[in-house]
Amino acid sequence: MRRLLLLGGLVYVLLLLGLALMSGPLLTLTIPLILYLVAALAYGPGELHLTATRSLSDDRVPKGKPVTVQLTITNQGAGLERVEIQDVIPQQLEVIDGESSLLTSLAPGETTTLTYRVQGGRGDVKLGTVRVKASDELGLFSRQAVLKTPKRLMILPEVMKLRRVAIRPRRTRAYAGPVPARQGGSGVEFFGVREYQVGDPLRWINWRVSARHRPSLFTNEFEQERITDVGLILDARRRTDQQGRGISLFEHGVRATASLAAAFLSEGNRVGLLVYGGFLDWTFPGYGRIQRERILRSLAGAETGESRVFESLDFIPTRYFPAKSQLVLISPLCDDDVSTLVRLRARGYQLMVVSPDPITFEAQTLEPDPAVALAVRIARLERDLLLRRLQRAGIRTVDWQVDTPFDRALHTSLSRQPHWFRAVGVE
Amino acid sequence: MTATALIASIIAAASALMLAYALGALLLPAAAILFLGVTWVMGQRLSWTWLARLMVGLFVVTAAVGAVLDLSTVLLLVGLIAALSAWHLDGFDRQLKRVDAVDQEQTLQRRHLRRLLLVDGLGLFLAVLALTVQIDLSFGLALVLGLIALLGLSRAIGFLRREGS
Repeated sequence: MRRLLLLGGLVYVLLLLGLALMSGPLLTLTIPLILYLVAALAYGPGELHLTATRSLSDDRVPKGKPVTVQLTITNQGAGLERVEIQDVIPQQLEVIDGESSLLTSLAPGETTTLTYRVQGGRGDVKLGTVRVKASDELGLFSRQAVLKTPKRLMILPEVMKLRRVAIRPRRTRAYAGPVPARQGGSGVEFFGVREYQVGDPLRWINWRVSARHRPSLFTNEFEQERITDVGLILDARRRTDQQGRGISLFEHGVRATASLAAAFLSEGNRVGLLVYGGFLDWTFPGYGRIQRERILRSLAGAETGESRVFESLDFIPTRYFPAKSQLVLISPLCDDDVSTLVRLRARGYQLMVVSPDPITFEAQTLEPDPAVALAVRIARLERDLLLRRLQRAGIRTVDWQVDTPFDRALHTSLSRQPHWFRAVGVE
Repeated sequence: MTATALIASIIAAASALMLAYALGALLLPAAAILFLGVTWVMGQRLSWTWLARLMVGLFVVTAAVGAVLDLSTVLLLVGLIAALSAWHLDGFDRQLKRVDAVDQEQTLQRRHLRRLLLVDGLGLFLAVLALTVQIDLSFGLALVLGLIALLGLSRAIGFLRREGS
């Protein structure tokens, strides 16, 4: 359009000058310019009648796996001499192969196809805008259109394989599973001794105790193992996030959440997910592979957010989680979170906090300096204090330096079981 | 192909205008035109996207001044048409570089250059014809014709803008 205006303006000025100066040669100079305008008008494109369809080789992929996008444009109107097709690629994606824009000509009914491969980081990516610009051969007169071909591409977070995560909630579900149920019955671990009842296997009789309390017989009891409810809470508050070199701390939190969800679900537990940030994104608890998919999809779209309501953890809706179930909070933590977590623990929830360490993470992005070293030291002391306050309240903590493998960090922290955790029946 | 045609157009525009001024014994403006031509070519090499728009304006102004100074109109016309072609080819060249792929690139470029040559040739022919054919008009008639031309042009540009948006 600007080209057209420039040409029009030049013609106008030359004509005015030619008339004002009564100069034939000056008026003659306008002829080629006017001819340009006439040619543009004569060969300019008519109304655009284009349709676009898009297909993806896969609509859900793990992070890093390429996806092939195929965009087909069909001209259902008059012929177009020059068409520039530009498929708008969302910021999260990167074209690694092929072409996402094309310059071509389209005869009536003709179809052209763009094929390219993209790859990107975790996210719920919306593809769908195609910009088309048709112009005459001289590029003066053009028509533009935006075609919509909405498609969603889920790039799922990385799931790290974890060894068994030991949890011990106060309440379990009715079905057999791997979680100690704090109830006597059939199982593996010794639970206690009770009086013999008809039907008890003879090999369960505790002869030593029975000898001491003759004539009664006593049998051993074992701790039942069942499945349980696990509520995962991912902290997506912007104030707790840190930006590092090319990756945010929140991304590590998402990876940890995905891995924990997969680990708990693979053991048969019922798992729900709450993403707590700018708003509450709740994935209702469920079992199995379908639930794993639901959680991964929710995590794919998880983003940090800001909200005055959810600035602190005070508004975690406990009605979402069954009473006395296992909660796992994945959060870098703030000072004012302690009281809320202690309150949750006091309500009977068994609480585990997986905390990606923000101090080491941020320190890596700073230039080494005595002042920085001192600040890091002070911040670390404060964090240690915070974690210790949680541990004293009976909350299990995993202090995760994100450059160490999550599985190792998890098992190093959980292998040091506190005395209250080891004791059977202590609540 | 387009890039070569673009450089050739710039050289042709600068040479024709320079020759017109040199034949009129205006050597300093001729040197200035040479400088403009060299700047335009350098600007193309350095991908200064804003330069073509400025240069086409300057070349048209130079041609207009030459016409007022009664220099060789044919040379001025050649210079003006070549400058217009260079400006246009610059836009086309940038479009070719902007997209990832060009469907049947050679055919597209050839067709494009053919259309451009046709318009340029027709423009030159009509302009030379206009210079050759002499019709005596009274001042009033010339004024009326001029006003009609201006009005028609305004309407045409208005129409193009509406259609373009």
